[in-house]
Amino acid sequence: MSKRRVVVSSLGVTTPLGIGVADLWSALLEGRSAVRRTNLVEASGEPRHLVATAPSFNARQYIADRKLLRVMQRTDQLGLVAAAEAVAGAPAGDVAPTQRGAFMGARKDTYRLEDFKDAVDASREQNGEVTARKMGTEGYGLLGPLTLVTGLPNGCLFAVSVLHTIKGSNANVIGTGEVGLTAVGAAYAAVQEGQAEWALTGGHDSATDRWNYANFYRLGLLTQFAGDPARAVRPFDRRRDGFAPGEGAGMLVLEPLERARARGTRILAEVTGYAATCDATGLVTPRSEGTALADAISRALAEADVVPDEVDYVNAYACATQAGDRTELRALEAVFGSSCRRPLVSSIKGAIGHLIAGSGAVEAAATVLALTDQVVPPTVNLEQPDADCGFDCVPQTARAATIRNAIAISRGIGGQNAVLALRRWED
Amino acid sequence: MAERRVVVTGIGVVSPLGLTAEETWESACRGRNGVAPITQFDASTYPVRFAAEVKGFSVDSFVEQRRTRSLLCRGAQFGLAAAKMAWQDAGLPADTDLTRAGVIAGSCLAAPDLQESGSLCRALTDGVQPENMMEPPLAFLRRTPHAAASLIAAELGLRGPVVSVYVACASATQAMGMSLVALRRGEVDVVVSGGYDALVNEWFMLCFANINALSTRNDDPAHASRPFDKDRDGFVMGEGAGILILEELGHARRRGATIYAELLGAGNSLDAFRITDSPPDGAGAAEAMRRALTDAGVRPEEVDYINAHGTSTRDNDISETRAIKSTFGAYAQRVLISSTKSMTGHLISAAGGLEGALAVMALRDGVVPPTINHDEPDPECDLDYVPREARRSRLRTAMSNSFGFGGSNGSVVLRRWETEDARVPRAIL
Repeated sequence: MSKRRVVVSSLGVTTPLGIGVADLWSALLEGRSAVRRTNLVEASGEPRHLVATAPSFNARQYIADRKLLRVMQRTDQLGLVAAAEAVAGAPAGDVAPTQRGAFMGARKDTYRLEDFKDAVDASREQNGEVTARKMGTEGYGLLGPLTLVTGLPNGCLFAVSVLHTIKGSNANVIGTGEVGLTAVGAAYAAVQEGQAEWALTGGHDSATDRWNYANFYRLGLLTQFAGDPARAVRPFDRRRDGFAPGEGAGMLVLEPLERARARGTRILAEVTGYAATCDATGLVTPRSEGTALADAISRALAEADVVPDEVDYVNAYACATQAGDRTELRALEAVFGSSCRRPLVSSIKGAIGHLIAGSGAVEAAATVLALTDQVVPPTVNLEQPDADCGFDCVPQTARAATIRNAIAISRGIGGQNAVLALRRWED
Repeated sequence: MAERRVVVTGIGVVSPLGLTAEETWESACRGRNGVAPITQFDASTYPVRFAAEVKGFSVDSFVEQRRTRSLLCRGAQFGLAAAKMAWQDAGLPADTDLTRAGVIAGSCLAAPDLQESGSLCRALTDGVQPENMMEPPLAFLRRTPHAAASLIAAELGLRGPVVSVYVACASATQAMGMSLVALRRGEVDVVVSGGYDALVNEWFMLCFANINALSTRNDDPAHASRPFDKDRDGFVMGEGAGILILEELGHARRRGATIYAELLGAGNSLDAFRITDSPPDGAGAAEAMRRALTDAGVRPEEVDYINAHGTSTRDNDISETRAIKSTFGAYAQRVLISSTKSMTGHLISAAGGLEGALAVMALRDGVVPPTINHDEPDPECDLDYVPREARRSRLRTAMSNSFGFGGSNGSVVLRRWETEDARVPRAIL
């Protein structure tokens, strides 16, 4: 029995370059960057931290249920607004609620220090030490009743189920840079296997607060670029020194081809393959030769029934760290090195920063747009590639190109590699 | 292409009932209670002062490297220990293709301890710039729950997909469902699945008490977890890990593995109702059970045993009972149901892993572990919950249920393995 074909029928995004697909896409093609310098601690202090925050938005404008919004963190809200756009573009319509699926990638701070601070400070003994004994008496009453539910890592999944009456197959995957794409991969499998007739999928994150900044800073992953903030995040460039944490979400609607056709909806692209592997080296140490990533790319292409020669575009992960980009280029070299026609490669992280758990789905959305519009978004700030970079990484300026097969790559801090294969829809 | 079937070839458990799978299983069959006053911190002023803790556990014998040990939160320690025991139990040979082996498991949550919280809050008050925080560089990774799956993969050398699933109390069961899909589709041959969690700490005991989810029977902890009983008043927090090695049948046979059971099917659903409550009619739970049965190709009457979610909260036990009735019809009166949470407490993310492991051992040995503390049935919970004492029974097919905050539900269907490569039953009773 041949498997069902799966198509992307709608997209939604909230990103530092705009709320909504149209804003993001035009800004990306113009080569703009949303990275700016701010002070995460004091509003008036000297700007020092490079981040990419989303433009201000009012979630209530998109989501009427105020009670629901009250238990949603900012990351969930970014997800919900992106989901609202995606669903509006391809409503579930007559698909029964139990045949609708939702698959999310998230990286939430269950324990948000700001929510616990009053309780902690009230629980200090005279010597300043925080004790459980005092926590039970003084701290307890100061802990908001909504703290736990607001911190639920599956909050956005819950909220989309309520807002869009989704009662079927579902998953919530937690992690870092890979999980947006992991979720899309799970949705693709569920639709292909007949577990869902309509699936909302994507990832969301908000990493532009002081705690996230501190954590990624301590791992040595953040750019400390001294000049123009718009030029700070430099994927594949020799002078790259890390990423700027960002925030946002990407959501896609996936459907079986037959249903999309029957509805006469506009099909944006076909999902042709997905694969995931792990470096198995623990945390924050990508395998230098990039073999596990190469393996994931090869498996995704095999599932898509595509040979390396046929791949026209790679939307790279390229989080602009020295080691990350180098291992990714090695993996690409391993897969495409002997091709007579190498794919164009680009990364949009120079433009929107690193959306962490939101990045995979936003980049998948950008890859879909590249296929529909036959144009590759540029790698902004790429001035001088590594000496051994054997790929055209589309520096600075968007490029019109014939793109039939494309892949999107995402990677996680725990060595995860995820690859999604997409094909242009030609009726 | 023939359909790829999936079997359970290894089990690893760390639980309030024991530090191994067999010890836990034996305790469960004897109806032992794992609930007692909290020892991990001074809970004397807490609204809830008891829990089902893991006792006498040390991760040291499971991990050689100090650096790795320092990255493991308590939940991750349980997960890694159980994963290593399960891997060993499965007896996978050294030449196993590890690029086709992954981790898809229900993830713990983690939080800073009081000491860390104190200094972080002080940094907040003092307006310390993020780049000047004094924490050691890797301290926060210990509070990063999804680090655990990567560390398990690294320790076992697994280079397939590594996925941390989080849908609260349904995490491990849904992870098993995701693993089943990945194995059937041929993405992998072996998956380390199940879950791990450890929420018996200063923060989560307060947070869960705060939403009135926990039993407050402080004067009688041993009888606090009483699923389906008239006098139940909330769940008891547990901790631990239940890991199952799921393997494609052909792969298992070629290497001469001994097999516990077949994972026949999985189903999940969303309530789309309220964040911490299930709908009273149990529609979402019933949908997950129906999907699991359909996926398994099993008629309701074929199910001999249901390891229930059975949290011992007022609402869950009634809505789950209703869901079982609507799924199983008249047969609901005859199927054996038990909630092992009566003994282990609620392991949250790990619950489905532990309970899946117990269901597998129930199939192997033909014994249903009891629902202890089930003294007087709630009139609205009127099924056979195997009260107080384990029961010997011919078991061929079992179901395990998990329903989580956020409205995600999961069910799996397992079948006893009966050919000569089956695990040898243990004479447990």
